[in-house]
Amino acid sequence: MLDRLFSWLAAGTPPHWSYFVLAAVLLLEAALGMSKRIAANSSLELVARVLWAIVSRFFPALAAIKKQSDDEKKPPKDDPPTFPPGGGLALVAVMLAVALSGCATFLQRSAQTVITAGDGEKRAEQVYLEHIRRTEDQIATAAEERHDPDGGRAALATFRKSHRTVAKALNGMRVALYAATEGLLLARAGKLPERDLQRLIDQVLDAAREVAAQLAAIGVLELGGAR
Amino acid sequence: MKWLDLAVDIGKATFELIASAVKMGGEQEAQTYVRLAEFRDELRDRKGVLDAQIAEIEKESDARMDALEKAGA
Repeated sequence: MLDRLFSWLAAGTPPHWSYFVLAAVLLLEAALGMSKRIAANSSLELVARVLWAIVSRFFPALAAIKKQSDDEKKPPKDDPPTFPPGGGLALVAVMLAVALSGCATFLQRSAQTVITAGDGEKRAEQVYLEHIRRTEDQIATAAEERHDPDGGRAALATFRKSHRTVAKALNGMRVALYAATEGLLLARAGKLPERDLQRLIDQVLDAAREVAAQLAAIGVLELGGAR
Repeated sequence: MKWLDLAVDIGKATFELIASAVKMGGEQEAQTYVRLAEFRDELRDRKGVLDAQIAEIEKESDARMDALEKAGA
């Protein structure tokens, strides 16, 4: 039968509909045969039960629904318990759901990246402002102790010049974050392709690296930790 | 028939599980985008705020130097 089917396919001639029906019947028979083997073979049933226990452990809602179903249709006591054939289907469906959720969350992951980067940028601004406030106060206090306003002004000017790059990097990161946020909202509405969104996310990450590098350059950040 | 009924029940339960997971995922996603829209507005409002805060700190130090200069004179 398979030879004829392949020759038909090779010739581009569709096989008769009855062969499709036959194939469906064979598949159904194979599925039923597998179910029977699971019921008859205790080791296979054990494996199936373990798998079912794992599914029930992580999805209690499913277990509760199954329990309710079992309670309603309790077998007679002499009837040995058997693993429901739907369990395999449930496993496949759960795996499919997990796989689909993993595939379909590019936007979700990008949104989380942007929000996390935004929190990091805010924290970096705080650390930077604290650094400026503390250092400016130290310079002014030292000048006051020496009664040297000119020296104080010169020291303040040098310090201010040294950290301007951090402010520039932070402003750049905020602009990148704004663009990425707008991009995410557009992408969700289907108005921006994913590759363009990815480019915007990459720009945010580049800007974050630049902020970290500039903070490290003025000695505020050491090996990824704020001083 | 018993197995068939169970298979139908499990199929229904699976469908409900996937439907609830999709619903939960949808709600979580909606919350994320609400937060994202708020974040975008916040970013817009913060434009120029960092520079203003730096200027404010520098102004205080400059005022202290001015006061020191006046005291010296």
